[in-house]
Amino acid sequence: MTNINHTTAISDEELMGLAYDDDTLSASQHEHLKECMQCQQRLAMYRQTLGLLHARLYRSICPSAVQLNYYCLGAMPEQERIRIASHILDCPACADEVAEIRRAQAQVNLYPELPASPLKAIRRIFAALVVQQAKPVTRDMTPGTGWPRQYRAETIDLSLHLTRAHSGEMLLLGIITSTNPDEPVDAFEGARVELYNAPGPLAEDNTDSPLLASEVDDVGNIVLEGITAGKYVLLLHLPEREILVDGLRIDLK
Amino acid sequence: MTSTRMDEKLDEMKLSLLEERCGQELKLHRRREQADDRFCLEIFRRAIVGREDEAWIALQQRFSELVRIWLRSHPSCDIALQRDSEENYVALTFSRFWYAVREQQLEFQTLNAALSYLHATLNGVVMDILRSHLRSRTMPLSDPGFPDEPAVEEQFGAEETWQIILSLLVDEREKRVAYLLYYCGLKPREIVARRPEEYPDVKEVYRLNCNIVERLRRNRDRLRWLLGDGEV
Repeated sequence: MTNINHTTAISDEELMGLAYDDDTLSASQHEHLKECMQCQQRLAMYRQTLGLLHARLYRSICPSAVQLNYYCLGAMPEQERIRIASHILDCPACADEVAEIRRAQAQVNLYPELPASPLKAIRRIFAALVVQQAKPVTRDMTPGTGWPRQYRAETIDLSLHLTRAHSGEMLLLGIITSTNPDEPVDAFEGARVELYNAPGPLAEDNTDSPLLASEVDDVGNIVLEGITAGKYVLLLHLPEREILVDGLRIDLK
Repeated sequence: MTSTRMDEKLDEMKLSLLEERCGQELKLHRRREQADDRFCLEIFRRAIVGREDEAWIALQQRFSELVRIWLRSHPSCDIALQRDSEENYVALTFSRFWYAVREQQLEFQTLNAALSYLHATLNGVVMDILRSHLRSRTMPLSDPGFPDEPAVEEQFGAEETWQIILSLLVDEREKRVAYLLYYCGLKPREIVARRPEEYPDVKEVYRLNCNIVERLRRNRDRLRWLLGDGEV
C-alpha cells in the first residue's frame, strides 16, 4: 500500500483550480496527487462535472447571435429589444458579442469589390475546343454545336456530352482527365463545377450565382442536371487554377 | 442594356427586367456612384411582402454571391468553414433571413437597410456556429459513463433548467458564480478580472464553485439528465 503524506493533502479549492488548468500546487502537492487515488478521483469528478455543465448549459439561455445582430441594427420589436437589453446588462458573454457586432456593423462594406474574392487570385485558363478528327466535318457545321465536345486547357482534357435522362430532363455530362502523369484522375475529386449564363464569370464585376453546380467524382465524372437551351460558361475550380469553357451554346432542337 | 421606361410601374415590371436593373444598380453602388435602389427593393418587396416564389429565388440568386464574399471576409471564416460548407452558410443565411423578415413583416425602405439586415443574419449565423463550437470543445463526444446523453434542452427547456439550478443554490453569490461559469463560460480568473468588486479573490470563486458542484451532485436525482448516472 502506498504511504501518503497527508500533511501535503490538497484542498477542494486547489483541486478545482487544477480542473480549470490553474495550477497553484507545490511540488510536494504534485507528488501527493500522483500517489493519492482519492485526490485523483476528486479531480476527475470536478473535471467531468464541469465539462458536462459547460457542454449543456453554455449560452443556453442567451438570445441567439442572430437576434443580437438584429438588436444591434435596431430592427426588433420594442418588447423584444427591452428583453435583450436587460439580458445584456447581466451577461458579460452577450455584452462582449454585442460590442463585437457593433464594431463589425460599423466597418461592414455592403458593396464589396469582387477582386476581394480569393478566386480572383487563382490562375484562370480558357479551355480551347479541340476539333475531333475522327468525326466527319460538314461544310455547314458550326464549330462548337455538335456533341460530344472535346476541350483542352494545358494538360487538362475535358469531354462534354449532352444527353437526355429517362425523366426527359437534359443532362450535361463531362469527364475530366489530365495528360500529366503526376496528376491522377482522383486529384480532381470534389472539385466544384459551375454553369453560368454567359457571360457570367467573364463579365466585369460579375455577381451572378451559378445556375447549376456540381462536383467532380472520384473517377473524374461531372453531371449537371436540368439543362435548358441557352449560352453558358462552364467553370471548373481545380486546385490552384480554374478552367473556363466559354461559348458553350446548348441547343435542344 | 435594356431600357426601362421611367413611367413604367415597378410592380408591373417583369422580374427578369428587375433583376437586370438591380444588377446594374449594384455595380454603381460598388463604384460608389449614385444608384437607384428601387429595382432591387422591388425584388425584396415581391419576395417578402408579396411572397412570390420566383422573386425569392431571384433574390437569392442576385445576392448569394454577395453573402459568399461577406462570409469569406468574416474574421472567423476559417473556423466557421471547419464546421460547415460555404454553400450551407449561404443557404442558412437566406433561410434565417426569410423567417425573420416574414415574422416581422419587414418592408425595407433602402437597399442599405435590406443588405444590412442580410449581413446581420450571416454574421449571427456564423457567431451561433462559433458558440456551438465553444460548447462542444470542452466535452469529449463519447464520454464514458454518459454515452449519448441527450442535451438538456431535449428534456427540459433552457430556462426551466436554470430555474431548477437556482432552486438548489441558496446563496446569491453561488447563483451568480454558477451563471458566470456555466452559462457565460467565464473562467474563475476571468470572473475576478471582470468583476473585481464582486469577487476580488479567485480562491473564493473556487470555493463557491466547489459548493455548487457538491450541491448539484447531492441532487443528482433531480439532475440526472444534466449530470448523468456515472459515478466518478
